[in-house]
Amino acid sequence: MWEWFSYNAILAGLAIYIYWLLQVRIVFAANADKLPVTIPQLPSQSLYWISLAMIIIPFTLLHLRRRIRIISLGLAIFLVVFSFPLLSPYNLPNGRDAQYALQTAQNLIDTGFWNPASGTGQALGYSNYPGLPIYHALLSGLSGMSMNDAVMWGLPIFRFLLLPVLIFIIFYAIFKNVDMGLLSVFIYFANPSLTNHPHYEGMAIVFMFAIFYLWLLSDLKKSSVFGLTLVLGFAMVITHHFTSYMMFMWMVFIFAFGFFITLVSRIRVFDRVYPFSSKKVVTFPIGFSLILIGILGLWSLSVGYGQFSTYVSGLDNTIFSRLNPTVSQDDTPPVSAAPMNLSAPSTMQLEQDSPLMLSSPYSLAAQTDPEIQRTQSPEQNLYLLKAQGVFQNIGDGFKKIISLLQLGNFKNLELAVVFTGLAVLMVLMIVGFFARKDDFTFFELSNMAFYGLFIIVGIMLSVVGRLNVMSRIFEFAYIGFIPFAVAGLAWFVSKEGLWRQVMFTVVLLLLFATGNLLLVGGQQRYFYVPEDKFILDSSFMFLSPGSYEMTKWAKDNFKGKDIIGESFAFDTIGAFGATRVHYYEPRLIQRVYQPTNLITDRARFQIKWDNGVAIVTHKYLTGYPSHSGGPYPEESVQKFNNFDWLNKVYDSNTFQFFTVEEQIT
Amino acid sequence: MRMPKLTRTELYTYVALLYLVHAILTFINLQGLLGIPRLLTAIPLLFFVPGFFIYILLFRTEMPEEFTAYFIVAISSVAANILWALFMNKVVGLQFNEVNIFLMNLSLTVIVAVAERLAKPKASA
Repeated sequence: MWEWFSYNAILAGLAIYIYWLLQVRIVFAANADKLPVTIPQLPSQSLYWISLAMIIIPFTLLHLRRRIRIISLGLAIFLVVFSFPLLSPYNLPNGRDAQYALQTAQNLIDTGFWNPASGTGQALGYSNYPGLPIYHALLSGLSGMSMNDAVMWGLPIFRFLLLPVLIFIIFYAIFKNVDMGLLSVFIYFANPSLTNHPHYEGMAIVFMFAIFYLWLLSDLKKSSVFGLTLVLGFAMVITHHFTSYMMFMWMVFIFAFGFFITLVSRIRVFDRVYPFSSKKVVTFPIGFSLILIGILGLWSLSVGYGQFSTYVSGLDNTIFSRLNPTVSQDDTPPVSAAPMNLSAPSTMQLEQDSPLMLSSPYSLAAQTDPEIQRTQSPEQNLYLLKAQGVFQNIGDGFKKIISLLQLGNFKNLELAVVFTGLAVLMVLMIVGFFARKDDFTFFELSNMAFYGLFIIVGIMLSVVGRLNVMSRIFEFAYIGFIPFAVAGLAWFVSKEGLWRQVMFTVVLLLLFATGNLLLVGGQQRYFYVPEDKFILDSSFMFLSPGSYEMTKWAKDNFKGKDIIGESFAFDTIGAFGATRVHYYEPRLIQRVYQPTNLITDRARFQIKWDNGVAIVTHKYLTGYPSHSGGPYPEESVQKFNNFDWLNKVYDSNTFQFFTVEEQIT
Repeated sequence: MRMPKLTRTELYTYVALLYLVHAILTFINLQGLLGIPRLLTAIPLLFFVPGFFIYILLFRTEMPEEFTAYFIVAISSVAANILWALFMNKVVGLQFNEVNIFLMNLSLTVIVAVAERLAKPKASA
């Protein structure tokens, strides 16, 4: 009876999902020229959650046959992994990473060759890492799919074929139990940082986990594993910088932690205190480690040097100091209208973010405070203040993450689900830690310690606006957390009982909802953001087929040239049109769109200095805020008609292009 | 799930047939939903064929569990395809286009299959 019910629940859930998805697509198709779509136009969001719950619940019923539970799990994973192409109403890559991934892959086909210096905007940086673009080009070339489709579907195909199996074999090797292995797979795919959209990390992380599995968990001969893991390591290094650095840090940490455990185990008194000292230390072979680090070092110091230097300076500034220099520009007009080739339009200076300076070891306050100088030598002062800075950074990071979530486009109910889910996960891990304290291995222990530390680093990075680390860290960290979370769940259901089964089901649904709400690339929550919380970006709420057509025109006319526009233009025209868009010059953008009828001489000179050939403006600027400012008043957007040095060359209901006609000498 | 137990002749025949069908489908170049058969042959070429020979080459004396074996075949196939394509493009100078991408994949399979054959001729697949 339960089996009949479960099969039908899965089928009904799938039917409801398809109905919901078709309704969403119909609404978007009917409103392609009237974006963004608002909530009342869409089918009820509850349909989505009901369908997912119906699909997932059979997996949570422990007494069911394994076949039904695997079908339930497989379908849920499919819908999560393929959410990016499924939920994109116009089958266009949405979001900066996906859009520039398309450009990078298209460049390979257009030019015929990989060139690390090719591309514009984000693609310019990512052309240093050709792993994913080559995969997209291979998939497109072999299957005959358009590059757009290859980018939309390629990474989900890759991840669906590889990642569930990899996660299963990793945790099966740990638990030696199929059901716990399956539960681990479920929890992994309920994590909030899954990179299912076309992002380099989504591919590199599979290589990384595979290396770990093959060396540290599998019982395969090391001589056989050596060659394969070198191939995987090289593929990882050429695919994603952050993942490669994570791998490097993970390796170093395991060596250091193994050394520590070995040291502790030699001291007899610790045997009773530390349950860890009896754990068998398993690390990477030195030869493999050195070769992989050598490959990583060579790539990072040559092709990927730009990213490498950014990480090094970013980490140093964030973790060990509170000094966060930001580049700003003096707003006063230039002293004279000197020839453009002789002087920059603005002077650059370093300014310090005063609220964050208070505890900086380098700050003026720290250097001049007589109390500090009296009580400590300069060296002591430095280290104490650094330690103080670390703790304050953690606190500030927490506050910043919570305030950003509150200010972001989440509903209160969604925030409540997220915080409850994370709290439940934490409790499960604590329970699991004690339930499994006699069983867990060095691999589990070191992973837990490493990722616990890295979460703290991620929180600290939030202080300086590197939120991308915190938002993506869980995809790595769940490898460390799952053994304990699953052990906690297993302890919970170790005794039979209806209420335990009900709670188990509710907890799994809650964990799934938490992860699903926080997913970054392509997710249903964006459809249901209240209009007053819209943020102008290149999500499917603003990127219409008309906008995509416009980018083709832009590519024909401005490919490789400099366009002045804000973040939406950066994502769409910059990515699809292969133009250079000056998104990373916020002062320039603010000056161009400043809420007056004027464009200052300073702005004009800077446009010319940046070789800006055109300014782009669009109707969304007046309606919604974006990450580069706004919403702007009507005059900010319409004023470009008023200048004889600007010539309107493109005009649609949404976009206008103005070429810069003047010649300044 | 079971890894296929094939004789060497069977293995080569199936792989050759797969490439032949794929080449014909590429030549016909059907678009839209009718292009799906070519996708169905492209996925094995990208995810399984070269990897299967790599798997035999590296793990011939071992019997990994089935899921591990499947995973090794798939991941080694994708990684090898990417690295080989990068090598062929950057070092050999073969441009990325539809025909060359097919040739890159085919040459990888041939090279790994020959290497596997030369490494231990008497071992069975």
